[in-house]
Amino acid sequence: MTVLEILDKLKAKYGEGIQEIDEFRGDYRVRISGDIHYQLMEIMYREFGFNFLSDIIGVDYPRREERTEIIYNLYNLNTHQRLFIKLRAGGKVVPRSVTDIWPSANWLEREAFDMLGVQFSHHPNLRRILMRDDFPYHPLRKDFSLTSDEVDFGVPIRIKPPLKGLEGDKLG
Amino acid sequence: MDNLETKPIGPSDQKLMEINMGPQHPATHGVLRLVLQLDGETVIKCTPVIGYLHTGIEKTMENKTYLQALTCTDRIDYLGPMLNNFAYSLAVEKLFELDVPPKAQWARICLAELTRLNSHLVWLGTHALDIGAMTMFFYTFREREVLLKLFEDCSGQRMMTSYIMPGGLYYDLPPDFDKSIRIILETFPSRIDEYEDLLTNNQIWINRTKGVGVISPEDAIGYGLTGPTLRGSGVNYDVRKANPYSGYEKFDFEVPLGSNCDCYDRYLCRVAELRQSLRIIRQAIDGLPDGPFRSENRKFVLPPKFDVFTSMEAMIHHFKLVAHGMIPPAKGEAYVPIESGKGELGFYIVSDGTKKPYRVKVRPPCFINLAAIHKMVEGRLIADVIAVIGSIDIVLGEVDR
Repeated sequence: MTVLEILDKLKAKYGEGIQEIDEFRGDYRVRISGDIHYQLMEIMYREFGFNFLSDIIGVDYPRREERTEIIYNLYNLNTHQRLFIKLRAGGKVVPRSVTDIWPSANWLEREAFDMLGVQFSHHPNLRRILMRDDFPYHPLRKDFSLTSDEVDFGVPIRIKPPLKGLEGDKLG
Repeated sequence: MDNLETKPIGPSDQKLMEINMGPQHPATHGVLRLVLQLDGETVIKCTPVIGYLHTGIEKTMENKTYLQALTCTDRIDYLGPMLNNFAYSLAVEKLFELDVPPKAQWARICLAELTRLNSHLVWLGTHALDIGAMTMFFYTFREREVLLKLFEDCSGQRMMTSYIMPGGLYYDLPPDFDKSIRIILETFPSRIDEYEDLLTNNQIWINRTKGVGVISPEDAIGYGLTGPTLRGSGVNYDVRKANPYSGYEKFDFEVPLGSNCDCYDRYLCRVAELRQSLRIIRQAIDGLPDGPFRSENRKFVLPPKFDVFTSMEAMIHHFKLVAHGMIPPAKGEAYVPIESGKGELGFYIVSDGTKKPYRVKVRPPCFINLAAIHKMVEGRLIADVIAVIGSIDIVLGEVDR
Protein backbone atom coordinates (compact mmCIF):
# COMPACT_ATOMS: atom_id res chain seq x y z
CA MET A 1 0.00 0.00 0.00
CA THR A 2 1.48 3.35 -0.95
CA VAL A 3 1.36 6.35 1.33
CA LEU A 4 -1.25 7.97 -0.94
CA GLU A 5 -3.56 4.98 -0.57
CA ILE A 6 -3.16 5.12 3.19
CA LEU A 7 -4.08 8.80 3.10
CA ASP A 8 -7.17 8.06 0.98
CA LYS A 9 -8.28 5.42 3.47
CA LEU A 10 -7.78 7.78 6.38
CA LYS A 11 -9.74 10.51 4.58
CA ALA A 12 -12.61 8.12 3.87
CA LYS A 13 -12.67 6.95 7.46
CA TYR A 14 -12.32 10.21 9.37
CA GLY A 15 -13.56 12.89 6.95
CA GLU A 16 -13.50 16.13 8.92
CA GLY A 17 -10.96 14.77 11.40
CA ILE A 18 -8.26 15.00 8.72
CA GLN A 19 -7.76 18.74 8.55
CA GLU A 20 -5.00 19.10 6.02
CA ILE A 21 -2.77 16.95 3.85
CA ASP A 22 0.39 18.58 2.69
CA GLU A 23 3.14 17.34 0.39
CA PHE A 24 6.53 19.03 0.50
CA ARG A 25 9.63 17.69 -1.30
CA GLY A 26 8.20 14.18 -1.40
CA ASP A 27 7.18 13.88 2.27
CA TYR A 28 3.55 13.69 3.32
CA ARG A 29 2.25 15.43 6.40
CA VAL A 30 -1.25 14.97 7.74
CA ARG A 31 -2.78 17.40 10.21
CA ILE A 32 -5.47 15.81 12.33
CA SER A 33 -7.89 17.11 14.93
CA GLY A 34 -7.50 16.41 18.62
CA ASP A 35 -10.58 14.23 19.07
CA ILE A 36 -9.48 11.48 16.66
CA HIS A 37 -5.81 11.64 17.63
CA TYR A 38 -5.37 8.53 19.78
CA GLN A 39 -7.79 6.44 17.72
CA LEU A 40 -5.89 7.28 14.54
CA MET A 41 -2.53 6.53 16.11
CA GLU A 42 -3.73 3.07 17.13
CA ILE A 43 -4.94 2.42 13.60
CA MET A 44 -1.64 3.61 12.16
CA TYR A 45 0.07 1.02 14.33
CA ARG A 46 -2.35 -1.89 13.94
CA GLU A 47 -3.69 -1.57 10.41
CA PHE A 48 -0.99 0.24 8.50
CA GLY A 49 1.99 -1.28 10.30
CA PHE A 50 3.76 1.89 11.39
CA ASN A 51 5.60 -0.01 14.10
CA PHE A 52 8.39 2.48 14.67
CA LEU A 53 7.92 5.89 16.27
CA SER A 54 11.03 7.66 15.17
CA ASP A 55 10.58 11.02 16.84
CA ILE A 56 8.14 13.47 18.37
CA ILE A 57 8.76 17.07 17.41
CA GLY A 58 7.18 20.04 19.11
CA VAL A 59 7.03 23.46 17.48
CA ASP A 60 5.87 26.54 19.35
CA TYR A 61 3.52 29.07 17.73
CA PRO A 62 2.85 31.56 20.52
CA ARG A 63 0.09 33.44 18.69
CA ARG A 64 -2.17 30.42 18.38
CA GLU A 65 -4.67 29.29 20.95
CA GLU A 66 -3.32 25.74 20.60
CA ARG A 67 0.21 26.94 20.70
CA THR A 68 2.22 23.75 20.26
CA GLU A 69 2.26 21.77 17.05
CA ILE A 70 3.25 18.19 17.74
CA ILE A 71 4.66 16.22 14.82
CA TYR A 72 4.82 12.45 15.07
CA ASN A 73 7.47 10.95 12.83
CA LEU A 74 6.12 7.47 12.07
CA TYR A 75 8.00 4.81 10.19
CA ASN A 76 7.11 1.38 8.88
CA LEU A 77 10.09 -0.96 9.24
CA ASN A 78 8.66 -3.49 6.78
CA THR A 79 7.65 -1.27 3.86
CA HIS A 80 10.07 1.60 4.71
CA GLN A 81 7.40 4.27 4.50
CA ARG A 82 7.53 7.44 6.52
CA LEU A 83 4.56 9.60 7.43
CA PHE A 84 4.36 12.71 9.55
CA ILE A 85 1.22 13.26 11.63
CA LYS A 86 0.65 16.73 12.99
CA LEU A 87 -1.56 17.83 15.80
CA ARG A 88 -2.15 21.26 17.25
CA ALA A 89 -2.09 20.88 21.01
CA GLY A 90 -2.29 23.19 24.00
CA GLY A 91 -5.18 25.10 25.53
CA LYS A 92 -8.19 22.79 25.49
CA VAL A 93 -6.55 20.12 23.35
CA VAL A 94 -4.61 17.75 25.60
CA PRO A 95 -3.49 14.78 23.51
CA ARG A 96 -3.39 11.34 25.00
CA SER A 97 0.06 9.87 25.42
CA VAL A 98 0.98 7.21 22.87
CA THR A 99 3.38 5.47 25.26
CA ASP A 100 1.22 2.34 25.39
CA ILE A 101 1.42 2.02 21.59
CA TRP A 102 5.09 2.88 21.17
CA PRO A 103 7.13 2.77 24.42
CA SER A 104 9.68 5.10 22.81
CA ALA A 105 7.14 7.92 23.19
CA ASN A 106 7.81 8.00 26.94
CA TRP A 107 10.99 10.05 26.85
CA LEU A 108 10.05 11.91 23.67
CA GLU A 109 6.84 13.20 25.23
CA ARG A 110 8.69 14.09 28.39
CA GLU A 111 11.13 16.10 26.30
CA ALA A 112 8.30 17.88 24.48
CA PHE A 113 6.70 18.69 27.83
CA ASP A 114 10.00 19.90 29.28
CA MET A 115 10.98 22.04 26.33
CA LEU A 116 7.59 23.37 25.21
CA GLY A 117 5.22 22.89 28.13
CA VAL A 118 2.74 20.76 26.22
CA GLN A 119 0.69 18.39 28.37
CA PHE A 120 -0.12 14.75 27.62
CA SER A 121 -2.82 12.81 29.41
CA HIS A 122 -2.37 9.20 30.57
CA HIS A 123 1.43 9.53 30.51
CA PRO A 124 3.04 7.19 33.07
CA ASN A 125 5.58 9.70 34.30
CA LEU A 126 5.31 13.20 32.82
CA ARG A 127 8.23 14.97 34.48
CA ARG A 128 10.98 17.23 33.21
CA ILE A 129 13.81 15.33 31.63
CA LEU A 130 16.57 17.71 30.55
CA MET A 131 16.00 20.73 32.77
CA ARG A 132 15.97 20.54 36.54
CA ASP A 133 12.64 19.89 38.25
CA ASP A 134 12.21 23.38 39.68
CA PHE A 135 13.08 25.19 36.45
CA PRO A 136 10.24 27.67 35.93
CA TYR A 137 10.27 28.00 32.13
CA HIS A 138 9.95 25.93 28.98
CA PRO A 139 13.05 26.99 27.07
CA LEU A 140 12.06 26.15 23.50
CA ARG A 141 9.01 28.37 23.64
CA LYS A 142 9.51 31.40 21.47
CA ASP A 143 8.93 33.80 24.36
CA PHE A 144 11.86 32.32 26.29
CA SER A 145 14.51 34.75 25.22
CA LEU A 146 18.14 33.93 24.65
CA THR A 147 19.14 37.01 26.63
CA SER A 148 17.42 38.25 29.75
CA ASP A 149 15.19 40.62 27.75
CA GLU A 150 11.55 39.78 27.26
CA VAL A 151 10.41 39.19 23.70
CA ASP A 152 7.62 41.41 22.42
CA PHE A 153 5.18 39.61 20.16
CA GLY A 154 2.63 42.43 20.09
CA VAL A 155 0.15 40.19 21.88
CA PRO A 156 -0.07 39.65 25.62
CA ILE A 157 1.66 36.45 26.59
CA ARG A 158 1.76 35.44 30.21
CA ILE A 159 5.15 34.49 31.46
CA LYS A 160 5.33 32.78 34.82
CA PRO A 161 7.44 34.88 37.20
CA PRO A 162 10.64 33.19 38.32
CA LEU A 163 10.52 31.28 41.54
CA LYS A 164 11.77 32.96 44.68
CA GLY A 165 15.49 32.66 45.16
CA LEU A 166 16.16 32.21 41.48
CA GLU A 167 16.43 35.86 40.45
CA GLY A 168 19.56 37.67 39.50
CA ASP A 169 22.91 36.05 39.91
CA LYS A 170 21.47 33.06 41.71
CA LEU A 171 19.82 31.89 38.50
CA GLY A 172 21.65 28.96 37.03
CA MET B 1 15.55 16.03 38.45
CA ASP B 2 15.59 15.21 42.14
CA ASN B 3 11.94 14.33 42.45
CA LEU B 4 12.52 10.65 41.75
CA GLU B 5 9.75 8.20 42.10
CA THR B 6 11.64 5.76 44.24
CA LYS B 7 10.41 4.45 47.53
CA PRO B 8 12.27 5.58 50.62
CA ILE B 9 14.09 2.84 52.42
CA GLY B 10 11.70 1.88 55.20
CA PRO B 11 11.19 -0.98 57.56
CA SER B 12 9.12 -2.96 55.02
CA ASP B 13 11.84 -3.19 52.40
CA GLN B 14 14.99 -2.94 54.43
CA LYS B 15 16.94 -5.11 52.08
CA LEU B 16 16.67 -2.62 49.19
CA MET B 17 19.45 -0.11 48.83
CA GLU B 18 19.41 2.92 46.57
CA ILE B 19 22.66 4.15 45.11
CA ASN B 20 23.71 6.70 42.54
CA MET B 21 25.91 5.60 39.71
CA GLY B 22 27.27 8.82 38.28
CA PRO B 23 27.10 11.62 37.25
CA GLN B 24 30.80 11.62 38.11
CA HIS B 25 31.66 8.04 37.33
CA PRO B 26 34.40 6.97 34.91
CA ALA B 27 32.32 4.25 33.30
CA THR B 28 29.23 6.29 32.48
CA HIS B 29 30.87 7.94 29.45
CA GLY B 30 30.28 11.45 30.64
CA VAL B 31 27.68 12.74 33.01
CA LEU B 32 25.05 10.04 33.00
CA ARG B 33 23.47 9.43 36.38
CA LEU B 34 21.69 6.17 37.08
CA VAL B 35 19.69 5.77 40.26
CA LEU B 36 19.85 2.07 41.04
CA GLN B 37 17.67 0.25 43.50
CA LEU B 38 19.56 -2.80 44.60
CA ASP B 39 18.72 -5.99 46.38
CA GLY B 40 22.18 -7.15 47.30
CA GLU B 41 23.97 -6.97 43.98
CA THR B 42 20.85 -7.35 41.83
CA VAL B 43 19.39 -4.30 40.15
CA ILE B 44 15.68 -4.03 40.91
CA LYS B 45 15.04 -0.67 39.32
CA CYS B 46 17.16 1.59 37.15
CA THR B 47 16.18 5.23 36.62
CA PRO B 48 18.42 7.27 34.31
CA VAL B 49 18.69 10.95 35.19
CA ILE B 50 20.00 13.07 32.35
CA GLY B 51 20.36 16.73 31.50
CA TYR B 52 23.69 17.49 33.17
CA LEU B 53 25.20 18.40 29.81
CA HIS B 54 22.18 20.23 28.40
CA THR B 55 23.45 23.20 26.44
CA GLY B 56 20.35 24.24 24.53
CA ILE B 57 21.77 23.49 21.11
CA GLU B 58 18.32 23.40 19.48
CA LYS B 59 17.47 26.82 20.88
CA THR B 60 20.83 28.21 19.75
CA MET B 61 20.30 26.87 16.25
CA GLU B 62 16.93 28.62 16.00
CA ASN B 63 18.72 31.89 16.56
CA LYS B 64 21.41 31.44 13.94
CA THR B 65 21.31 31.54 10.17
CA TYR B 66 21.38 28.26 8.28
CA LEU B 67 25.11 28.52 7.70
CA GLN B 68 25.97 29.56 11.26
CA ALA B 69 23.90 26.74 12.73
CA LEU B 70 26.20 24.25 11.03
CA THR B 71 28.86 24.77 13.68
CA CYS B 72 26.41 23.81 16.43
CA THR B 73 25.90 20.38 14.89
CA ASP B 74 29.48 19.25 15.56
CA ARG B 75 28.94 19.64 19.26
CA ILE B 76 25.97 17.30 19.44
CA ASP B 77 27.71 13.97 18.92
CA TYR B 78 31.31 15.08 19.33
CA LEU B 79 32.66 11.66 18.37
CA GLY B 80 31.03 11.75 14.95
CA PRO B 81 31.08 15.41 13.92
CA MET B 82 31.04 14.83 10.17
CA LEU B 83 27.97 12.63 10.45
CA ASN B 84 26.15 15.44 12.21
CA ASN B 85 27.28 17.94 9.56
CA PHE B 86 26.14 15.47 6.94
CA ALA B 87 22.65 15.00 8.40
CA TYR B 88 22.15 18.74 8.85
CA SER B 89 23.43 19.54 5.35
CA LEU B 90 21.12 16.96 3.77
CA ALA B 91 18.10 18.44 5.55
CA VAL B 92 19.04 21.99 4.51
CA GLU B 93 19.65 20.83 0.93
CA LYS B 94 16.21 19.23 0.85
CA LEU B 95 14.66 22.44 2.09
CA PHE B 96 16.54 24.59 -0.42
CA GLU B 97 16.37 22.01 -3.26
CA LEU B 98 20.13 22.22 -3.66
CA ASP B 99 22.01 19.85 -5.91
CA VAL B 100 25.33 18.52 -4.71
CA PRO B 101 28.08 17.82 -7.27
CA PRO B 102 29.14 14.16 -7.57
CA LYS B 103 32.62 14.71 -6.18
CA ALA B 104 31.19 16.15 -2.98
CA GLN B 105 28.71 13.27 -2.69
CA TRP B 106 31.41 10.62 -2.97
CA ALA B 107 33.78 12.48 -0.67
CA ARG B 108 30.97 12.86 1.86
CA ILE B 109 30.36 9.13 1.93
CA CYS B 110 34.06 8.51 2.32
CA LEU B 111 34.28 11.01 5.19
CA ALA B 112 31.10 9.74 6.82
CA GLU B 113 32.47 6.22 6.91
CA LEU B 114 35.79 7.46 8.29
CA THR B 115 33.83 9.22 11.01
CA ARG B 116 31.94 6.01 11.70
CA LEU B 117 35.31 4.30 12.13
CA ASN B 118 36.32 7.05 14.54
CA SER B 119 33.08 6.73 16.50
CA HIS B 120 33.28 2.93 16.68
CA LEU B 121 36.96 2.99 17.68
CA VAL B 122 36.23 5.24 20.64
CA TRP B 123 33.32 2.99 21.56
CA LEU B 124 35.46 -0.15 21.35
CA GLY B 125 38.26 1.35 23.42
CA THR B 126 36.08 2.75 26.18
CA HIS B 127 33.71 -0.25 26.28
CA ALA B 128 36.64 -2.63 26.71
CA LEU B 129 38.28 -0.29 29.22
CA ASP B 130 35.10 -0.27 31.32
CA ILE B 131 35.03 -4.06 31.44
CA GLY B 132 38.72 -4.29 32.26
CA ALA B 133 40.58 -4.79 28.97
CA MET B 134 42.71 -1.69 29.24
CA THR B 135 45.04 -2.42 26.33
CA MET B 136 42.23 -1.98 23.81
CA PHE B 137 41.94 1.66 24.72
CA PHE B 138 45.55 2.38 23.76
CA TYR B 139 45.25 0.42 20.53
CA THR B 140 42.04 2.05 19.33
CA PHE B 141 43.21 5.53 20.26
CA ARG B 142 46.41 4.93 18.32
CA GLU B 143 44.33 4.25 15.21
CA ARG B 144 41.94 7.10 15.97
CA GLU B 145 44.87 9.51 15.90
CA VAL B 146 45.40 8.67 12.21
CA LEU B 147 41.78 9.56 11.49
CA LEU B 148 41.91 12.78 13.47
CA LYS B 149 45.04 13.77 11.58
CA LEU B 150 43.15 13.24 8.34
CA PHE B 151 40.23 15.35 9.56
CA GLU B 152 42.71 18.05 10.51
CA ASP B 153 44.19 17.96 7.02
CA CYS B 154 40.71 18.38 5.53
CA SER B 155 39.18 20.99 7.76
CA GLY B 156 41.86 22.37 10.07
CA GLN B 157 40.11 20.90 13.10
CA ARG B 158 40.53 17.54 14.75
CA MET B 159 37.04 17.21 16.19
CA MET B 160 34.75 20.18 15.48
CA THR B 161 35.19 19.91 11.75
CA SER B 162 32.15 21.66 10.17
CA TYR B 163 33.63 20.35 6.93
CA ILE B 164 30.52 19.03 5.22
CA MET B 165 28.32 22.05 4.58
CA PRO B 166 25.02 22.64 2.79
CA GLY B 167 25.87 22.47 -0.92
CA GLY B 168 29.04 20.39 -0.70
CA LEU B 169 32.27 20.63 1.25
CA TYR B 170 33.80 23.64 2.96
CA TYR B 171 37.19 23.28 1.27
CA ASP B 172 38.49 21.11 -1.51
CA LEU B 173 39.95 17.78 -0.43
CA PRO B 174 43.62 18.06 0.61
CA PRO B 175 46.17 17.05 -2.06
CA ASP B 176 47.33 13.90 -0.29
CA PHE B 177 43.82 12.76 0.65
CA ASP B 178 43.99 9.76 -1.64
CA LYS B 179 47.37 8.70 -0.24
CA SER B 180 46.27 9.01 3.40
CA ILE B 181 43.15 6.93 2.74
CA ARG B 182 45.20 4.23 0.99
CA ILE B 183 47.43 3.99 4.07
CA ILE B 184 44.35 3.64 6.29
CA LEU B 185 42.91 0.98 3.98
CA GLU B 186 46.18 -0.94 4.10
CA THR B 187 46.78 -0.82 7.83
CA PHE B 188 43.31 -0.97 9.37
CA PRO B 189 42.21 -4.52 8.45
CA SER B 190 45.15 -6.06 10.29
CA ARG B 191 44.51 -3.74 13.24
CA ILE B 192 40.88 -4.88 13.42
CA ASP B 193 42.15 -8.48 13.39
CA GLU B 194 44.30 -7.50 16.34
CA TYR B 195 41.27 -6.23 18.27
CA GLU B 196 39.38 -9.39 17.51
CA ASP B 197 42.32 -11.52 18.60
CA LEU B 198 42.22 -9.74 21.93
CA LEU B 199 38.48 -9.85 22.53
CA THR B 200 36.30 -12.06 20.33
CA ASN B 201 37.40 -15.40 21.78
CA ASN B 202 38.58 -14.04 25.10
CA GLN B 203 36.83 -16.03 27.83
CA ILE B 204 36.71 -13.09 30.26
CA TRP B 205 35.18 -10.86 27.58
CA ILE B 206 32.62 -13.53 26.68
CA ASN B 207 31.69 -14.05 30.32
CA ARG B 208 31.17 -10.34 30.81
CA THR B 209 29.10 -9.73 27.66
CA LYS B 210 27.38 -12.92 26.49
CA GLY B 211 23.78 -13.15 27.67
CA VAL B 212 24.08 -9.70 29.29
CA GLY B 213 21.78 -6.83 28.46
CA VAL B 214 19.31 -8.85 26.43
CA ILE B 215 16.56 -6.92 24.66
CA SER B 216 14.08 -8.74 22.44
CA PRO B 217 13.53 -7.57 18.85
CA GLU B 218 9.93 -6.54 19.69
CA ASP B 219 11.08 -4.40 22.61
CA ALA B 220 13.94 -2.99 20.54
CA ILE B 221 11.51 -1.82 17.86
CA GLY B 222 8.99 -0.56 20.40
CA TYR B 223 11.58 1.49 22.22
CA GLY B 224 12.75 2.97 18.92
CA LEU B 225 16.30 1.65 19.12
CA THR B 226 18.38 2.15 16.01
CA GLY B 227 21.88 1.45 14.81
CA PRO B 228 23.97 -1.50 15.99
CA THR B 229 21.95 -1.61 19.22
CA LEU B 230 18.89 -2.57 17.15
CA ARG B 231 20.78 -4.76 14.70
CA GLY B 232 22.35 -6.70 17.55
CA SER B 233 18.80 -7.92 18.19
CA GLY B 234 18.55 -9.15 14.62
CA VAL B 235 16.30 -6.41 13.20
CA ASN B 236 17.50 -5.44 9.76
CA TYR B 237 17.13 -1.67 9.66
CA ASP B 238 19.99 0.38 8.34
CA VAL B 239 19.10 3.77 6.89
CA ARG B 240 21.87 3.41 4.31
CA LYS B 241 20.02 0.42 2.84
CA ALA B 242 16.40 1.32 3.69
CA ASN B 243 16.41 4.94 2.50
CA PRO B 244 19.69 5.47 0.63
CA TYR B 245 20.94 9.05 0.68
CA SER B 246 23.78 10.77 -1.14
CA GLY B 247 24.26 7.78 -3.45
CA TYR B 248 24.64 4.92 -0.95
CA GLU B 249 22.61 2.72 -3.31
CA LYS B 250 25.65 2.55 -5.62
CA PHE B 251 27.81 0.95 -2.94
CA ASP B 252 28.22 -2.72 -2.24
CA PHE B 253 28.22 -3.54 1.45
CA GLU B 254 26.49 -5.75 3.95
CA VAL B 255 24.58 -4.98 7.12
CA PRO B 256 25.85 -7.20 9.93
CA LEU B 257 23.10 -8.61 12.14
CA GLY B 258 23.20 -10.25 15.54
CA SER B 259 20.93 -12.98 16.81
CA ASN B 260 21.33 -13.30 20.58
CA CYS B 261 20.23 -9.71 21.37
CA ASP B 262 23.00 -9.31 23.98
CA CYS B 263 26.07 -7.13 24.51
CA TYR B 264 28.32 -9.66 22.78
CA ASP B 265 26.27 -9.57 19.57
CA ARG B 266 26.22 -5.80 19.59
CA TYR B 267 30.00 -5.93 19.90
CA LEU B 268 30.23 -8.34 16.94
CA CYS B 269 27.93 -6.11 14.87
CA ARG B 270 30.05 -3.03 15.46
CA VAL B 271 33.32 -4.79 14.73
CA ALA B 272 31.84 -6.20 11.52
CA GLU B 273 30.70 -2.67 10.68
CA LEU B 274 34.28 -1.47 10.97
CA ARG B 275 35.19 -3.84 8.13
CA GLN B 276 32.13 -2.85 6.08
CA SER B 277 33.03 0.81 6.48
CA LEU B 278 36.51 0.11 5.13
CA ARG B 279 34.86 -1.64 2.19
CA ILE B 280 32.72 1.43 1.46
CA ILE B 281 35.71 3.77 1.82
CA ARG B 282 37.65 1.68 -0.71
CA GLN B 283 34.82 1.94 -3.24
CA ALA B 284 34.36 5.65 -2.58
CA ILE B 285 38.03 6.50 -3.03
CA ASP B 286 38.36 4.31 -6.13
CA GLY B 287 35.38 5.96 -7.80
CA LEU B 288 35.92 9.51 -6.55
CA PRO B 289 34.97 11.69 -9.54
CA ASP B 290 36.58 14.98 -10.52
CA GLY B 291 34.75 18.26 -10.57
CA PRO B 292 33.69 21.03 -8.23
CA PHE B 293 33.61 20.27 -4.50
CA ARG B 294 30.67 22.57 -3.84
CA SER B 295 27.46 23.43 -5.62
CA GLU B 296 27.73 26.35 -8.03
CA ASN B 297 24.31 27.67 -7.14
CA ARG B 298 25.49 31.09 -6.01
CA LYS B 299 22.12 32.14 -4.63
CA PHE B 300 22.47 29.72 -1.72
CA VAL B 301 26.04 28.45 -1.57
CA LEU B 302 29.15 30.44 -0.74
CA PRO B 303 31.52 30.93 -3.71
CA PRO B 304 35.07 29.55 -3.30
CA LYS B 305 37.33 31.93 -1.43
CA PHE B 306 39.65 32.48 -4.39
CA ASP B 307 36.74 33.79 -6.49
CA VAL B 308 35.69 36.17 -3.73
CA PHE B 309 38.99 38.03 -4.10
CA THR B 310 39.06 37.99 -7.89
CA SER B 311 35.50 38.31 -9.12
CA MET B 312 33.09 41.16 -8.37
CA GLU B 313 30.04 38.96 -8.74
CA ALA B 314 31.37 36.32 -6.38
CA MET B 315 32.18 38.98 -3.82
CA ILE B 316 28.64 40.34 -3.94
CA HIS B 317 27.21 36.84 -3.52
CA HIS B 318 29.58 36.19 -0.65
CA PHE B 319 28.57 39.43 1.04
CA LYS B 320 24.86 38.78 0.54
CA LEU B 321 25.08 35.22 1.86
CA VAL B 322 27.12 36.13 4.90
CA ALA B 323 25.30 39.34 5.80
CA HIS B 324 21.73 38.32 4.92
CA GLY B 325 21.94 34.54 5.19
CA MET B 326 20.41 31.91 2.97
CA ILE B 327 16.71 32.58 2.49
CA PRO B 328 14.81 29.36 1.70
CA PRO B 329 12.72 29.42 -1.47
CA ALA B 330 9.58 28.24 0.29
CA LYS B 331 8.10 27.69 3.72
CA GLY B 332 8.27 24.06 4.63
CA GLU B 333 9.67 21.29 6.71
CA ALA B 334 12.43 18.87 5.87
CA TYR B 335 13.79 15.74 7.50
CA VAL B 336 16.47 13.45 6.11
CA PRO B 337 17.57 10.53 8.29
CA ILE B 338 21.08 9.16 8.04
CA GLU B 339 22.82 6.23 9.68
CA SER B 340 25.24 7.69 12.20
CA GLY B 341 27.59 5.59 14.30
CA LYS B 342 24.88 5.30 16.93
CA GLY B 343 21.73 4.95 14.88
CA GLU B 344 19.22 6.96 12.89
CA LEU B 345 20.21 10.59 13.10
CA GLY B 346 18.25 13.38 11.49
CA PHE B 347 17.48 17.05 11.73
CA TYR B 348 13.86 18.11 11.43
CA ILE B 349 13.98 21.68 10.17
CA VAL B 350 10.88 23.88 10.17
CA SER B 351 11.30 26.96 8.02
CA ASP B 352 9.08 30.02 8.08
CA GLY B 353 10.71 31.50 5.00
CA THR B 354 13.19 33.71 6.83
CA LYS B 355 16.95 33.45 7.08
CA LYS B 356 16.82 31.54 10.37
CA PRO B 357 15.26 28.12 10.89
CA TYR B 358 12.04 28.43 12.90
CA ARG B 359 12.70 25.18 14.69
CA VAL B 360 15.43 22.55 14.50
CA LYS B 361 14.78 19.24 16.20
CA VAL B 362 17.49 16.63 16.36
CA ARG B 363 16.47 13.01 16.26
CA PRO B 364 19.10 11.87 18.74
CA PRO B 365 19.83 8.13 18.51
CA CYS B 366 21.70 8.03 21.84
CA PHE B 367 18.84 9.66 23.75
CA ILE B 368 16.31 7.17 22.42
CA ASN B 369 18.62 4.17 22.84
CA LEU B 370 19.32 5.16 26.43
CA ALA B 371 15.58 5.22 27.23
CA ALA B 372 15.53 1.42 26.97
CA ILE B 373 18.39 0.81 29.42
CA HIS B 374 16.09 -0.30 32.23
CA LYS B 375 14.85 -3.13 30.01
CA MET B 376 18.40 -4.42 29.69
CA VAL B 377 19.67 -4.12 33.26
CA GLU B 378 16.75 -4.80 35.59
CA GLY B 379 17.15 -8.18 37.26
CA ARG B 380 20.85 -8.33 36.39
CA LEU B 381 23.93 -7.70 38.49
CA ILE B 382 25.32 -4.24 39.08
CA ALA B 383 28.53 -5.10 37.20
CA ASP B 384 26.42 -5.78 34.10
CA VAL B 385 25.16 -2.19 34.11
CA ILE B 386 28.66 -1.09 33.10
CA ALA B 387 28.74 -3.57 30.23
CA VAL B 388 25.28 -2.45 29.04
CA ILE B 389 26.11 1.27 29.14
CA GLY B 390 29.14 0.52 27.01
CA SER B 391 27.26 -1.67 24.58
CA ILE B 392 24.55 0.86 23.74
CA ASP B 393 27.27 3.40 22.88
CA ILE B 394 25.99 6.67 24.27
CA VAL B 395 27.51 10.10 23.89
CA LEU B 396 26.17 12.43 26.52
CA GLY B 397 26.58 15.44 24.28
CA GLU B 398 23.88 13.97 22.09
CA VAL B 399 21.70 12.63 24.91
CA ASP B 400 21.44 16.05 26.55
CA ARG B 401 22.08 18.38 23.62
